[in-house]
Amino acid sequence: VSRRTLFVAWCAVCLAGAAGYVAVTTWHRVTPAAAPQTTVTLPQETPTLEPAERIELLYRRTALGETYGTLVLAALDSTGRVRYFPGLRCERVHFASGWGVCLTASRGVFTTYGAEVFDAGFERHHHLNLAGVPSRTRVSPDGRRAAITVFVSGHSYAAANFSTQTIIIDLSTGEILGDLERYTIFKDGAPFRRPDFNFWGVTFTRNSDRFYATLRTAGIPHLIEGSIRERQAWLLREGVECPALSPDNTRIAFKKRVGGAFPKWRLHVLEIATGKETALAETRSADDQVEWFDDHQIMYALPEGTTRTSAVTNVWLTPADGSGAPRLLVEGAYSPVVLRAPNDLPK
Amino acid sequence: MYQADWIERIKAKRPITGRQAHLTVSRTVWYLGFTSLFTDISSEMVASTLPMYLVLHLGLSPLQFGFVDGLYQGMTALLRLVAGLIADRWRRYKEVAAAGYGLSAICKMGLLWAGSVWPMLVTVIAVDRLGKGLRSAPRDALLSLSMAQEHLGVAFGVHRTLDAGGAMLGPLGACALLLLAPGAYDVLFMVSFCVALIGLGVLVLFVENCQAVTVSTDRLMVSLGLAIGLLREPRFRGIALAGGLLSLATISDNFIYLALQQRMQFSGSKFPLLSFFTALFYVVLAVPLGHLADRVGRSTVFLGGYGLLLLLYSAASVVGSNFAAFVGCTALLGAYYAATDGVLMAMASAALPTDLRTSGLAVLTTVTSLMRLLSSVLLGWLWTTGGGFAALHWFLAGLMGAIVMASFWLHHRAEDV
Repeated sequence: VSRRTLFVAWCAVCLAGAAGYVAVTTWHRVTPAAAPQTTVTLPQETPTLEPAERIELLYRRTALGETYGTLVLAALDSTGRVRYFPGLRCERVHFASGWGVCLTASRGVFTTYGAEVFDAGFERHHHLNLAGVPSRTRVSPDGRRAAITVFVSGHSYAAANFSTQTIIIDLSTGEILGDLERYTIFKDGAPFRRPDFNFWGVTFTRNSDRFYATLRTAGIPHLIEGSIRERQAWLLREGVECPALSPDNTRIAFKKRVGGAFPKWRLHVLEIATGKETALAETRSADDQVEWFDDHQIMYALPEGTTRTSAVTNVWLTPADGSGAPRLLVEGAYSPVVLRAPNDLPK
Repeated sequence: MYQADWIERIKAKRPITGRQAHLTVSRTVWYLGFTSLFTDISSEMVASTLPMYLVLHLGLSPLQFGFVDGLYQGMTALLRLVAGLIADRWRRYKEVAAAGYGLSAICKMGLLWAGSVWPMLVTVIAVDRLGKGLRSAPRDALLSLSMAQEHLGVAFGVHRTLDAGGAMLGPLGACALLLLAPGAYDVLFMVSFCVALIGLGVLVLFVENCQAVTVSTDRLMVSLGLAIGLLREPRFRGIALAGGLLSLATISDNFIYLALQQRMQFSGSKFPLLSFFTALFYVVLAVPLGHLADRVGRSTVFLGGYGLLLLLYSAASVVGSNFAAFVGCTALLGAYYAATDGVLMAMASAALPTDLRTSGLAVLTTVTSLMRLLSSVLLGWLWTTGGGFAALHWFLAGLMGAIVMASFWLHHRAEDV
């Protein structure tokens, strides 16, 4: 047999293998069961949930089907009303006081990333181009500002160094107020600067000038507190990643890296006044910036399993004091945020 | 001073060798080129979509890749030398290269198996890059052994054209695939795996190990000591010193792109366009410049390439924000690659003995890659202490000095090929 024949045969085997795989997986894709209904499990032990108070959950839908990636607003009451907003397909979303930020990825010849600023009626107001793959976003409680973190990576495989970029934007104008990388950082009162700084996971305080975030340098994540007006931040403590400030501004929920080179993340809550850390009941690894459901419970997404076409995640709920056990809040959901009447909710 | 040289050389060579002779390269070169073409399509398909896959699909925070990178660099350097020695000792260039290409091919499937398990993902990516380190020296050695010395420049030019062409096609293929089947990363990895297998098939079925004419024993005298000892030979040492120093004074592409972005104020989303244009110019210019290198002297073209880089660094701090400047800068960068990457290998191959070709090339690439690593550390430090443009100016001055030193190391010998 000549080499040329062998090569043609080899190519045929390779192509047949690829085509076969596509055929088999497409077959499975065409014949799945109908997309599961959105089921919201009501949190029974929610102290703040009063019958008169309207409270809804905004999230990115990750259940398989046509609506994958769209925003969903689900009423957390007995009506079980669910509204879809297919006009906004987001990778990550956050909302507060009538303003929301939706991070997008538009797949094309060159995939581009952006941020859409939208209002309570889900109308778009501003668009920003982002320099990398969207990771986290947070709107300040007063709805004036937002923070966005993206992953910027080298183009080639050989230099797959990922770094983060975190920017603060003004939601009324859509302008960038600053890049945390340009802020003056203080450590023990003295200016501190290293080439390997990476910032991510901003969470705003109630006054929206002060914020908390993560700064990693020399492989160690630090909790930092900063001021947007003064364009500076200072190191507070080690080992705190992706902080999320409680609505009453007294505690910070965060993911803590456990294990060596290959980390798992355990959810913890830090009491700001005392510095006391409490491990939460969730024992699975959670790589997320959590969101407070209210002052007593936090929400976070966990992968259900990565299917062929899409990543399906579920949103879980667990008490913020380390007691109890995690409960499933919504299936097929990611990036949840609670909207309360009358401030946040669209009419 | 060199201009007079060029003219003399062109005058001297034109009547002797016709154009046709220059552009003919051996079958091995074509086969190795197509192996690289398929392999690069395959790996760039995955590389260009990997950040998206990790962050958006798996929901991971991939910061720890940089962490693993340093560790990996050391590992690859060592493996590259060992692979070089094995290939030389048993003259099994093809087999060692095939092992490298095979490892990388398997890793495309490995990504699918790894799922979102961190240790497995990191391992798969590390093994893939290990494969890359394993294959390049034996492949370049085989390529150089298949050609007469005076045509090495054009031979490497042909290979690099196909290689960079694959790197351009890969991301386009990946995007087309993801547009047809959104989120179907499994199909993407599967197709990438099959394309890599086709590349491996070209290598295994068509490429043959060159039987070196100068040696007759089955087992050659090769050792690490001998390989390192190559650096005592003045010609190769000159090339290694020049290559190393110039690599130290070279800013990595990503930083160049970043500096251009700061200067021209374009959106970060145009980065892929920058690397696309750079690759395009590289593809177009690799053969003509390799050809020129064979005619006027490889060291001249090699140093000329760094001259273009010097121009780029100067331009990056003064250019305005328009499309012509954008394309012009990528043209300079692409031409720099075309004039240096393959030409350095051609130059080194010509200076290395047949028996130790792979080991010597492995020593050289180890030197240049370690210097590149050092350069990025240095640049990061300069960038943070003095800002982007101060860093650029330091490197501009450094590169000027390095070119002067390198031209001394490369040109003070008479027998420059």
